[in-house]
Amino acid sequence: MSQPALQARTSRPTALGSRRSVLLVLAALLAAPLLSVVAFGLWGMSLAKATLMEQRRDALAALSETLAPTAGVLIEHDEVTRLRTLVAATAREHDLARCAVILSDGRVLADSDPNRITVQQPPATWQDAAAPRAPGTDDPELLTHSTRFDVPEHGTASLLVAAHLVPSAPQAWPAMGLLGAISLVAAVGLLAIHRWAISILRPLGAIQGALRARARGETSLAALGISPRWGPEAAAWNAFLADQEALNLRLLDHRHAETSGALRTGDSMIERACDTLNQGLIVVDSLLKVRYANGAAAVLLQTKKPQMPGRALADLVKDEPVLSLAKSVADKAGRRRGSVEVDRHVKDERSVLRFSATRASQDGGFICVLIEDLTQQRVADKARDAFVTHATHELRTPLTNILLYIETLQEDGQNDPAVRGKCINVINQETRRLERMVNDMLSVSEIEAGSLKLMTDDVRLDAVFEELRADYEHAAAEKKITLTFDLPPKLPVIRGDRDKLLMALHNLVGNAIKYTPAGGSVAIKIEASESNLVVRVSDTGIGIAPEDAARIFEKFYRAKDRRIAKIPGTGLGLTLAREVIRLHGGDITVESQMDRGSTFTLSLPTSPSATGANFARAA
Amino acid sequence: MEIREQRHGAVTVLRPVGPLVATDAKDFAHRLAQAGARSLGRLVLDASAIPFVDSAGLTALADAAQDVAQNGQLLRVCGANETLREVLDLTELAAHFEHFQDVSDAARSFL
Repeated sequence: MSQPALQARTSRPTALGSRRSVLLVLAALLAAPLLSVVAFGLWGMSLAKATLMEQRRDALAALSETLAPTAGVLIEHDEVTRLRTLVAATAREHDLARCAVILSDGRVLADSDPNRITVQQPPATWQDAAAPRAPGTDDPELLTHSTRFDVPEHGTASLLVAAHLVPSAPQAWPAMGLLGAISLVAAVGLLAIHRWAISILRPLGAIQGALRARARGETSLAALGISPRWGPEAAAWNAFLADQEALNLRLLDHRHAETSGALRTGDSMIERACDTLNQGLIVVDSLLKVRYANGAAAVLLQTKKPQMPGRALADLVKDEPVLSLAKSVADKAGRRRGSVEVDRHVKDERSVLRFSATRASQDGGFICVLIEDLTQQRVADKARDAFVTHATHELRTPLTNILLYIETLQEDGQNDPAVRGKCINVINQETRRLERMVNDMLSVSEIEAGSLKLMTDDVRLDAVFEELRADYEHAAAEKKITLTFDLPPKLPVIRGDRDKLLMALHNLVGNAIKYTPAGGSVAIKIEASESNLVVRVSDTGIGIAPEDAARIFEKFYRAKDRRIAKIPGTGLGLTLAREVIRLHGGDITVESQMDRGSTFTLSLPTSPSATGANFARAA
Repeated sequence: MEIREQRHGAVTVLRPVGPLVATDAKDFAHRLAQAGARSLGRLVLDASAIPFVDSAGLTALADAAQDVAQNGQLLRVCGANETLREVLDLTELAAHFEHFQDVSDAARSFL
């Protein structure tokens, strides 16, 4: 069924029912005041009529009483003609139905209707008789009044006046005018009430009908709307419907954007979700123009997210393998999915990115390109490989020596005490070296695993540095290196792990002596403040190249300098030293110049509220 | 305020030394944005040497976290002391950062 037909079905009965109800209400509203007005009019008319009759009756009585003496005088003097003139004039003047002078014997001497005169001249005398009812006065609509008077020496007579009940038109005009005015005002008032009621009830009835239609499931704005000519209520209702319609449209648009068009523009839920991805996501069309890119893609391609849509992929990614991959995947005849890894060098920053392209529609309409940053993984892989290589090499060297001297001991040592002693000594040294190496590896492993615990206690720094001096005085003297300790008069007692702090200092001082040629100098300078301890270990050694200085704290990393190739070392000492100091909330930094020497600076908070120690304890 | 820059593998570690206050906030935010863009987002803020922050510093931190969040990540912060962590908790900003105990942990999170 078409929508208009449905609307007709649902809206017409509603409109008809609504109009019928309105008409009934209007009829009731009109009938009550109309009946009241009619009743009021009838009552007013009857009241006016009674009043007029009373007034007329009084007027007739007064007229009769006034004329009677005059009529008596005129009869007494035989002025019949004048009497009859008076009677006729009085009847005309006062709009009387009849005016007559009737003798007591019943004969009519004068009458406004001359045909009713029965005696032309008054007799000398006349007797009273039961006068018959005066003719012409039996009409019930007539008001009559009779005044008896005496005619001296002749007899008695009566003056009869009669008038119609209904007043003549001129007499009724004021009353009728008043009644008409009242009726007119009432009619105008009723008309005004009618129009007001119509104006109020029509939109309300229409709104009621629309609500009923809505309850039956009608949702069309065209069907539920009402004529705006029906007043402000209608306009408000239509505005309400329009707001609802707009809200519905917005909701529809929103859902549509979320389900289908979200990848183009706008702040849709899917776009926000894509922006939470660590991986870059680019959607490109068949012409390899970017239709959408998330925030991570902008970062990985070192551009701004708003600048990406609409640009060619080739503008953003210069790597040919990536573009070839994208073209291949966008091609309907090509592969559907593929990935490439590219090394990128931008301003000394090396990155390894993996681009994975997938055709997202059968016809190649658009493809998705996922960008993953593998740089840190590659660095970690390389470090792990280096670790295995170094560990193998470092472990094999002492093991080889141990095996070699054990063989020598077995072959020659039984007979030669000197050889035996030398072999045992070497085996002992190499075993200790192996033990140190394994311990270092274990420590590094513990740090890596986060399981290294600090045995925190009070550490007397003066004792620590005295022990350090004692340990290295002999070695420095052997190499003819000047070893100096510049200590403040008073060193604080700090909280920390004494053995691990000592191990870190051993590494710094031991390295300084190890990499300083004979005749050089190593100076240890300590500066202690209320909150910080700074230990500077400076040497006049071979120095560290800048590219090596950035990496010497990495596990198993050893500088590329040929001069240190023959100097034994595991590449773990500085790693351990810095990690241990960092666990105490401090740090180790290095400044160096090739062939001029190096300065390692160890800074350590002396306050127990500093960070690292607390973290270590918490761990 | 001195801001030291270190490399931890492929990760850039920024280590401000000193209180993060109004006079340093702008420079700090600039350095953070610059380092983040250069290292393709592989950035760690080592807060172990920040004793305290003021409102401007806190704003700079919040802005930096918001910028990073737009790129699908949380700003990785390590070594924050009790004071800083308490400030971040009280201002309900802590959830905008990814907290680590030390630099190594933070750097490993990029794996």
